[in-house]
Amino acid sequence: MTTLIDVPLLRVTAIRAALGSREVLRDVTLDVASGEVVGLLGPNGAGKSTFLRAVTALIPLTAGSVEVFGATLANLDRRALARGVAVVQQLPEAPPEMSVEDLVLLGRTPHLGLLGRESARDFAVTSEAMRRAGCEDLASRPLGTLSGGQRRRVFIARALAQEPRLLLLDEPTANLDVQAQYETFELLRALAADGVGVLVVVHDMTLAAAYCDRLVLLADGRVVASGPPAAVVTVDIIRSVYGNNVTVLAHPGTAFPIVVPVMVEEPHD
Amino acid sequence: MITRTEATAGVAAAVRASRATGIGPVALASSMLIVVAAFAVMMGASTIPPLTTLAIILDRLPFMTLAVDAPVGWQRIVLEVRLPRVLTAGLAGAALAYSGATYQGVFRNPLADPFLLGVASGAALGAAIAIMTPLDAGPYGFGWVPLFAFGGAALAVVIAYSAAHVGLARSNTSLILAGVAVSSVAGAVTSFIMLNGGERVLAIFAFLFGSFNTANWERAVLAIPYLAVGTAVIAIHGRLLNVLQLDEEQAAQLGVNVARTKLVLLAAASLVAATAVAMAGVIGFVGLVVPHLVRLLFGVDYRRVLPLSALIGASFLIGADVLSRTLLRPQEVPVGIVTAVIGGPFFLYVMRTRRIGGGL
Repeated sequence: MTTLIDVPLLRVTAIRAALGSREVLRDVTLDVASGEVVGLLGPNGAGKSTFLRAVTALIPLTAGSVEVFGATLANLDRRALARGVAVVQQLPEAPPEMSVEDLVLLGRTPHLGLLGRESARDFAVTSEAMRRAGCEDLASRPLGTLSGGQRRRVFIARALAQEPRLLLLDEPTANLDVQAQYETFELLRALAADGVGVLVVVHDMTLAAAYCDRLVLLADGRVVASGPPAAVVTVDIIRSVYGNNVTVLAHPGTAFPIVVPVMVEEPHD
Repeated sequence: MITRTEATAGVAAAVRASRATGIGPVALASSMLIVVAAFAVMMGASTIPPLTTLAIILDRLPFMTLAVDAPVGWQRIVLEVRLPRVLTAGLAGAALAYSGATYQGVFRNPLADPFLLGVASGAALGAAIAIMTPLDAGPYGFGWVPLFAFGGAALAVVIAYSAAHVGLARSNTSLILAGVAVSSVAGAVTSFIMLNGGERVLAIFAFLFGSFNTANWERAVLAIPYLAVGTAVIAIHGRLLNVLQLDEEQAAQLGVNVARTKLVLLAAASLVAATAVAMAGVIGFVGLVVPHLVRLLFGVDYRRVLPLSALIGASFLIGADVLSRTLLRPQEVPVGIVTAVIGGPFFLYVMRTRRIGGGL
């Protein structure tokens, strides 16, 4: 890695973006440095997915700036961007007949030459990515035969095959069982330990607080709070965004914040 | 980051993948094409013994000298009538299936065919104009119809593509709708011309269903450069077609310039399809069905789908042409009718017996 220590992998400064006539992002500022996992929180419609699309140049900015690896986003071509930044979408499409290995190999696309022929190294990186994401035993399976959790791992493997320095994930744990959720975040922590910067959109605040170094809470396109988990997941801040029927407890062992509903009436039987 | 054992595993995976995408199916399809083509050259209205036919052809190859004892008339029939006809049918079939596979890949839509953006209707209008206009001797002696057909096809695609520019991007839906609009306008004008066409209507009608009975060497040879350029451009984009099978956001996030790739692929595929239509008229079904058949039988990797579509498309159309000239001998059935009547039920059969993953 040749990253300069003080230059963040991703530096987003006061960006605005609109979908049609509706402004979806308003003055959003956010940094992701090498080796950290940053959680992006917020209610549905807060602008989290739009944020990921804006910082990967899929939609235009109306104001502000995005710098990736110290270069302005507008000056990076798609291929160069894809060699350093990988995205795991929420519900990515792919042909059900395509094999897992073929899909993960597509992660090598930005690294290949004009004729698109994969080298032995491309296959080696692909195998390693599948091993890391825990799907090497699925290599020859068609995508259409996978469970939801397996499918998530396969798309994370494809992102890893890009050999990214910055990894962006949109709700990678949605619809996963609790064990699979922990495994996903353990993987993100391990990647960060290797120097990758991780930005992950997540709804589960307890999970986010347990695994992320910093959290950024978006509401209505604005940053409401930003900082270490204990400073963001507080009763006052969470209620201001999600309403009064949530509260925050402290984990008995680690003091991590735990978000739970307020039980007004007696609990269900 | 990569250890020696991982590199070894990588090589093993590479071998596995090359075996999977390897030459087995291609060799099979090539052999089938040779057999079908040889059979097609032996079939015809005049009964020339099959071995004599082969001897006449082999005699013409370099370094081959057979003492062929055949009437000059037979030689003319084989070399000047049947051979260019089989070659033209093969080229047209390969071209239609190849461009059909490309269109289906670009649009991620199993209903896409090479005529989606107006190639067929534009070519038909061009041909109708050429047939109605009393231009007798065309350049190089092969008539104005192919040139007008090619021009009409190219113009239709350019108009449809330009008209589909809505906002920043050309969505697949707006491209398809623009193609439908251009096709219906061109079709209406063609119909109007036919209503007022008198006895020349039959020539236009023949073009609309395709035929190889005017095939000659000049036309086939003239088509080859266009087909070569178009297919070469598509061939080097085979892997990008695989990437495009994901949604367009994923393709962009993998570093692909989606808009430019689609433009290049559609332009090349339209060139190939327009050349086929100019050579042989409008032949439906091949471009729609053959790529499907290939994906059902051999999987979805476009680096394999493209060459296999070309080989099987060539065999299919050569075979259909044999039927078109022998079924109701001496009358010819338009080859487009044969492709639909044979291809439809066959495709339904394959679809029912090879149901994989429900996806096409």
